[in-house]
Amino acid sequence: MRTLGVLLAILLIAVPPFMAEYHVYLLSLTLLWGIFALSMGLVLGFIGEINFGQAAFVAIAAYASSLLRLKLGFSFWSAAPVALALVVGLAALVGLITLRLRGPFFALVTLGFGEIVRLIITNWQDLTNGPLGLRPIAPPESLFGLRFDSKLGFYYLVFATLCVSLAALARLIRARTGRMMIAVREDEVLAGFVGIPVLRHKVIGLCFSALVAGLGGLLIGPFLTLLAPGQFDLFASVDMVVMVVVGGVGTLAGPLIGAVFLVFMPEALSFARELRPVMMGGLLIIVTIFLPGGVIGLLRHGLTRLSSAGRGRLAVLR
Amino acid sequence: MLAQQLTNGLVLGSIYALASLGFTLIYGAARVVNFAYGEMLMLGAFVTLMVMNGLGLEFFLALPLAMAVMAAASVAIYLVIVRPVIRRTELQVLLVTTGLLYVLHDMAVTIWGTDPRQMDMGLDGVLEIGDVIVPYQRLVVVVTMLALVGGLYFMLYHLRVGKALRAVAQNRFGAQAIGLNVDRVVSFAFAVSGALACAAGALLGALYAVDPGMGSAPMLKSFVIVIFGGLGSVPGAIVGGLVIGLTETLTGSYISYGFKDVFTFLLMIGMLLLRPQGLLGARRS
Amino acid sequence: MSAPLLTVENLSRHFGGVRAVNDVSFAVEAGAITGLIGPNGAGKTTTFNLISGLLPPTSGTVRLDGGMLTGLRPDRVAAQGVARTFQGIRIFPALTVAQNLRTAVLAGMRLGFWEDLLNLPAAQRAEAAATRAVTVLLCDIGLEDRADDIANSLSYAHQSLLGIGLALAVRPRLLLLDEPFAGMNPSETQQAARMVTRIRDSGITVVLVEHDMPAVMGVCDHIVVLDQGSKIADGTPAEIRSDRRVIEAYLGTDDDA
Repeated sequence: MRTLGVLLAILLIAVPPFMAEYHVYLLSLTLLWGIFALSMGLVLGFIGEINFGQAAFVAIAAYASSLLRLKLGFSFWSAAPVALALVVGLAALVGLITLRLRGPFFALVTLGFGEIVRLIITNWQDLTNGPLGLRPIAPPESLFGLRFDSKLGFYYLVFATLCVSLAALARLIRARTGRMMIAVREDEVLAGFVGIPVLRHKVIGLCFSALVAGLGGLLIGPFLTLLAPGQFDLFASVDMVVMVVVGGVGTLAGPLIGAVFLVFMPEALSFARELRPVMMGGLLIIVTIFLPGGVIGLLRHGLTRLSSAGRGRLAVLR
Repeated sequence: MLAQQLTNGLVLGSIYALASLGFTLIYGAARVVNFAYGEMLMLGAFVTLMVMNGLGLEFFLALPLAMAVMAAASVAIYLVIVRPVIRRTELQVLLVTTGLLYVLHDMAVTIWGTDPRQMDMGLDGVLEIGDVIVPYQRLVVVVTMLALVGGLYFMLYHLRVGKALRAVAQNRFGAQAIGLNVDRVVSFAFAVSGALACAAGALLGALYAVDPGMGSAPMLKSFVIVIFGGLGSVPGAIVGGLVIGLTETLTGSYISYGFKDVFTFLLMIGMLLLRPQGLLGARRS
Repeated sequence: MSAPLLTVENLSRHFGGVRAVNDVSFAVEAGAITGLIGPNGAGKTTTFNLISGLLPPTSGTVRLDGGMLTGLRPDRVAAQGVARTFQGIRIFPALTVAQNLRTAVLAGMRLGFWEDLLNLPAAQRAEAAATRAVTVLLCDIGLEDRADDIANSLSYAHQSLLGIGLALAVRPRLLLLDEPFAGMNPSETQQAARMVTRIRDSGITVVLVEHDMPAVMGVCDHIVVLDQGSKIADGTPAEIRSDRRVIEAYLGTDDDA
């Protein structure tokens, strides 16, 4: 699995310079969704809840950084830490309030949170320009001699962000904090009685998830050169959920596979655009009913048939 | 002015309550949160419109037929996508109904297009009491809501199937132990929920317009209402609907129209913090 | 006699109009095994949940070594040195036996958030210490050769042992066992009873709720009897066996023994 990952990373670095601009754009879009799906994957797979307000975290980072740049003259790089701190702080606050709730209650309240954020963005027209949105949003300024104003340059920035996110989450779930999170997901009551502060670990999980969503959010403005509240509706969050479920809940690679399946392939094969939502919804239902492990589960099933050596691996996963 | 606003708020609240009844009923009976419930309202409105146009019926004659169709559709949804996962995790139930939301919405767009359509209830004119004005159409909504609530209560407390439904809602395993066919009872709850969705959707469609996007606003309202009133509680949905309708009308006209939904969401979050089971919800361990 | 480790004072819990536990007081001697018994519906499990903090009491207090336990969050209760098992068994089902124990061991270790996240030397030391602790625990509960099995796949008796192992991983002063012999055959019960005695001999005070009367009489140093939410007797097994009210309470119910 690891060698496969390294091989894939090398391909993702080496091949794009030889690709058509449209395909580089498509690859950036896929990886960007990969970042969002990764952030949802942490909530879904390691806290065990659905966050229908995930797009709000993306929106807050996107708007905060873009407003700092447009209104106060910050550079992309100096606005980024401010925007991320804001998102993580807000996630901690939201988490402290909402993560006491479980299952449908958490899902419904986060949906409410997402709507509140979208309504504020839509209605606070003096600041956000309302439904018309913010534009134009310039590409990030060059840093250490690296330039991001070409499709290819920006692609590498997205790729690097994805790698950083992936590395951070991989470390998190291997660290004690991550294993405590998994224990809480498995059995909240028992986790409490073996000495794990339950709420704290859920909040930490949500903060990490918001951090990753925020990292993606920083990039979405420059990527689209435009920010509007309509980009961050419920369906954006649900798209992330579908990617995670199709790829495989409870893994880090799953959300990325999901993004490839649901962003890259339909576009590259120029799948009928009108049918995309039906496909998303239908896949969500079919995969949940018949293939709860997602694509990863399917691959792993195949692998365990080949060799039964990977038995212990399954343990951290649901 | 205030009297008019209060009246508007109550009428709006009745619409919301109507839109939330079937949603909360399903949760009460089967612990299923149907995220696609708003789309079922939309579907109900279209089915009513189809029946009206297809059979040349008046609105109030077409409605019961449409409700029967939607009841059947709702049972089909239960059998095909909800039942396979109902004994697995809560998360999976949320996932399949979320998927359904996409499918229904997009099917409607594909079949009927996005242009809004008018649906005539065949009732014009207004009722005037002093300074307060209420269009007959809206009055009908309030009356229908009351009639459906009355019917629902009669069913729950006086009919065998309603009593079985309450038994299943209170204790699934206990109900099974005394020989109730839980699966059949839950199917019945889905049927009722589908019929209620159809009634709510048709009335909303007649008041405003029928289009594939019409389900999302009432869906969000329903969520707020049932969480405020208590998820799974029928009286909670009614009280919640009225409170939210009033809050929205009053804050919308006296504080800020654009932010009126923010106030109702804040109300919901406040309730969750103070009383997580909602105003009239039963505490669950 | 030394001061009691656990003191329960005037503990009550009402559910609506039902008084599940009504004004119950008793003390638990350090280093002993105390049994909490009574017919079905006597309020044993509720009392247990009140002591461990799973349920808040309607009134009354629970003190450990003089410090208040009532009102503490479960993880704080654990930090005070109180661990519990659950009726019907709770384990982390998708983890292996070793991972289950490792989770509980790590939970109790002092380790800074960033030290852990950045895998600094302190974190590596903690992991190494956890590995040693898990080895010892596996041996204590006799599941060495099941270390890499998924917990969900274990037999009921083995899951029960793992549940006790998770509680021991907390390094408790006081161990609360909720029906430790439920669902076990006589030989498994004997084995588990020996383990409970070993746990006491290692210096851990034990309180257990149990239905299996012979096992309770054999293993407990002290017994508290509840009936209909109230305490009706409190004494050594010999005293309890000859207590008139206890005999009445047990004979008065149809389907319990």
